[in-house]
Amino acid sequence: MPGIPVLVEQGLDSINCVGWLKSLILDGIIGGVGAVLGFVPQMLVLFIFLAFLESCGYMARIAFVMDRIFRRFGLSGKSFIPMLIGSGCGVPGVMASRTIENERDRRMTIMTTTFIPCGAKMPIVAMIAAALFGGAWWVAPSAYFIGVAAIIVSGIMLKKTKMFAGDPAPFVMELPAYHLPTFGNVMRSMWERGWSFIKKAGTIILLSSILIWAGNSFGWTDGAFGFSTELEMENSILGKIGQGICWIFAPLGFGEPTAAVATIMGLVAKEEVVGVFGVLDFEGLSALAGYSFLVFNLLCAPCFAAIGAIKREMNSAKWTWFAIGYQCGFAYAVSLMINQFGLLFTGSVNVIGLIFAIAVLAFMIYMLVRPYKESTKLTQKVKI
Amino acid sequence: MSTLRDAKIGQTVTVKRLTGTGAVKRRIMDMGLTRGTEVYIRKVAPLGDPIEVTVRGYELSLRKADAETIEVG
Repeated sequence: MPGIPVLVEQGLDSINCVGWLKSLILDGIIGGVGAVLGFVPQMLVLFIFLAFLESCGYMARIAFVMDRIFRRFGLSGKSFIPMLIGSGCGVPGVMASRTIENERDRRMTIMTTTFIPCGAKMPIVAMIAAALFGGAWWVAPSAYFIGVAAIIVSGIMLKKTKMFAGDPAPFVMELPAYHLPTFGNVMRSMWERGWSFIKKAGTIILLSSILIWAGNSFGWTDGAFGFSTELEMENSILGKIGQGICWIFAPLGFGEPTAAVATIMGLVAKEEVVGVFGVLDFEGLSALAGYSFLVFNLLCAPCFAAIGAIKREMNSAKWTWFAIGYQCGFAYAVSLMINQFGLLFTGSVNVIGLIFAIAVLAFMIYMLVRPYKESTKLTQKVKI
Repeated sequence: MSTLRDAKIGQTVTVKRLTGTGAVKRRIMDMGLTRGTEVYIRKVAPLGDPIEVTVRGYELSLRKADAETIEVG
């Protein structure tokens, strides 16, 4: 039985559709939005279980158990719930931060939730582990440890900046009695979240798929600009952009157009990264550079869908940009350190890069050990 | 004067006074911890910090830092 793409292709062929429009509909819209909609069934299953945990009263207990740990690095126990959900998908993860009343804690949770590797980042991890590390067992767990470490380090560093400093918010919360949730409640909660995800697939992901498609299939063939289905990656607009910005990633070890394009594609959906590399192979990427690439893609700005969720939960363009900028900057700093210190041990030292890496490390350590500005006691001054 | 922080698991105590200020005190009073309320200390979180108490027939979780601002007798 033919699938939707085949049926649509037949329909377009029968009305003699122009080549570029057919490509736009098939590769751009159906390919892009379809890739995201393919996630819907498993997301709905995830949402059912989360709705069950939530309405039976267990989520409040998780916050109760985890509060002591999260308190230490400036978050509250309630921040654990978004992170737990974020290991499935960042979009509901960011949305789950709504239960945190304190604005500072909520903003910080939103900013750090997407550091946890989501389901779509798993293919990247699997690809790097298989292609460059011969399927070594430690690559995938290390991705999660890096995610958790990024949350802890960011939590401690951000808490010491002026924006997030302040008295801890009280953690006075009702623990609802355990009960069996009603079927209707679980379904409604699942559908609300699922529907908001589907709506995003129809708007922001549709738009960005079209843009990426245009960048991919318009380019220069024999000196003439135009549309072509047999375009080489390096001749397309996206490939040119990749060549233009790949120097940014040179200090991280993967300063190649392919890796740069893959990172841009990762903004549409993280599993797109695999798609780019799948056809282009790993020419000239060492294991160290590959790991640095992996870490950068795990920590940098999430996909457009999650950025949209961040925008909605922050309800402020300024904070959204700050969150994205922080995530990219943090990812860059960590990858820089991995690559430069790695090079130090594997032989070929890049002196300037190493100096920068040491400077970044020194700055991070300074931010980590700097004393808190806030008071440790629970007092709050009120103007009368 | 002892505070809710020092109370042991299984004890039932009565709130005497709230020493907190501002939003924290407001939040604690909102949740029904007012003078004369009976509070039963149910359990302590595995890591030792928030405590779970029964107050006015429902379960409430409190940090020890917050519990310190509640004087009990």
